[in-house]
Amino acid sequence: MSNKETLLSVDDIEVFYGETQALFGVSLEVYEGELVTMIGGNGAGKTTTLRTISGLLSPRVGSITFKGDEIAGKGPDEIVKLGISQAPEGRMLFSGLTVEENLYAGAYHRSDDAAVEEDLEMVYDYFPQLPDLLEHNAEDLSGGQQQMLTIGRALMSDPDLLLMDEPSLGLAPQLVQTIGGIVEDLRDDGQTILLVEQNAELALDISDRGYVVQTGEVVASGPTEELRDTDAVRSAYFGQ
Amino acid sequence: MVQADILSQIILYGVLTGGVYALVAMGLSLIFGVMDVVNFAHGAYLMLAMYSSYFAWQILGLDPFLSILLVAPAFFVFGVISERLIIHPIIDEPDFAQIFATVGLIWVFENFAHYFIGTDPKGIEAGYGGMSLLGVPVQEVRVYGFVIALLTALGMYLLLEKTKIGLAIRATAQDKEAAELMGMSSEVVYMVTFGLGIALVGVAGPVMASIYSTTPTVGANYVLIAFVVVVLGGLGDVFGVLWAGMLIGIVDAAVAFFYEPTLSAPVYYTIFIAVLVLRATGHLGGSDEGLLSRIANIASSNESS
Repeated sequence: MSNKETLLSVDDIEVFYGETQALFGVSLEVYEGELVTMIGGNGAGKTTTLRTISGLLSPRVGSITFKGDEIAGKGPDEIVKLGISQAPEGRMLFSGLTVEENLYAGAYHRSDDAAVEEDLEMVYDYFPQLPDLLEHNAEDLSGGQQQMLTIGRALMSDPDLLLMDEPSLGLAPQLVQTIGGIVEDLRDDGQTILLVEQNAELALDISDRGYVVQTGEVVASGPTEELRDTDAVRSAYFGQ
Repeated sequence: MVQADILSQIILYGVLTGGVYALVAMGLSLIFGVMDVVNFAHGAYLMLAMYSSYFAWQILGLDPFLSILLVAPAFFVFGVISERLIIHPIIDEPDFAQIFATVGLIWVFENFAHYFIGTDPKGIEAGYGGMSLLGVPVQEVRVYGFVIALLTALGMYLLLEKTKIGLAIRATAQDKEAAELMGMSSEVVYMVTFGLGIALVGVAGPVMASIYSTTPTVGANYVLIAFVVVVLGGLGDVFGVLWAGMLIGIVDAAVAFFYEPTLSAPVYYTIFIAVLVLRATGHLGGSDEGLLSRIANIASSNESS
């Protein structure tokens, strides 16, 4: 990994909701082509970190650089144009819009129409169910289909970095494996991914490196095969 | 038994009038549906649009229907500026801030009209007469107004469904945060939405001014109907608003014919409340949380005006 370029660098950020501090100095790095995971329990600060990277929240302290440029404080609509897209927690689909409209919404900021059509075909390759559902409203899809649409929509922005927040949440075990496989495929096809998961086993299985967060701080990090055996992960996930 | 020709007169007259009501309601529905802002000043904007058309006719000799080409774009700009100055600063504030701001606008606009124009009713004499439609005698202006309402509804539909900014408007209405994650600036979407909502008033104003005379408080007469139409037709649903407008128009015409015109308002209120109760209990599948309480505010503010 070390010979690859640093794509994203989060440096010691502190984030507040009103007066309540949620992140106490989180730092992490994502190199080009990597699948990096951030694991931790409920309320550890994983979603907050992703929302801050996407610009939905601003860090009070610390910096976030993407391709070498500072992005902390920029709005979400600017950040997606720079090349970071997110498949957010809870999916946040446009429930009353069709599947097709949701996908085109993902490509909203792009003007390279021909490439958008190519990317649409690419999304259909990853998710062969979607082409049959184009005219359906997003709210009429099953949970698994909605998750596929969420990822597809995020891919439609042609991101350099894809942020994925709990893609396995609420899905049946078999679907969790399917989604996990698709995340691996995306990485193998060159997509850089920062994956947030509560399902640590899945995340550690498929990721290259990982960060363990607890109550707004990174408590362990490293290659996933090493991370699996650390006390931090064991205590957080695999029994006390 | 009611004679068939009277019934067809009532329906035709109601549909024509209702189309124009829908035109007034469309902008209200759009702004409410997308921005979750109840624009109490909608009727006051309408009044200014009616005067604009009147003066375009009086000073420039412009036909009221032609003046739409001038008034609507001007009101788009007016709407965008209003959004930046009045709505944007309070968009994330509690409802009462929006109520104060938009009700405040009513006073500003109405007093402006009182002071500079006066209270004499202003009517446009553009030389339109009567015609016969399906064997029923009607005023030409009502027919043209209805056609303009239909074309405007179609135009709005195409804009919302087939254009990129339309997609951004609908996406923002569904989930503002997700829309921002897609690169849709909600600031821009809100400016355009409010601009469009007021541009729709800029279409409705000249049509209304060709049919009715204008006074500084004329807007209050039509904004209640517009609220009823919006609640019946659905938020941000262009054709729903059109159907609802025609339904209210027919009710309006029937009540006026069989009983008397002053009974129209109590009948609107009854329909209004019935729809809200049905929606609140989910019979119409409405999911407009908090709509009931907000509508109660609207209703009481209209009663006092």
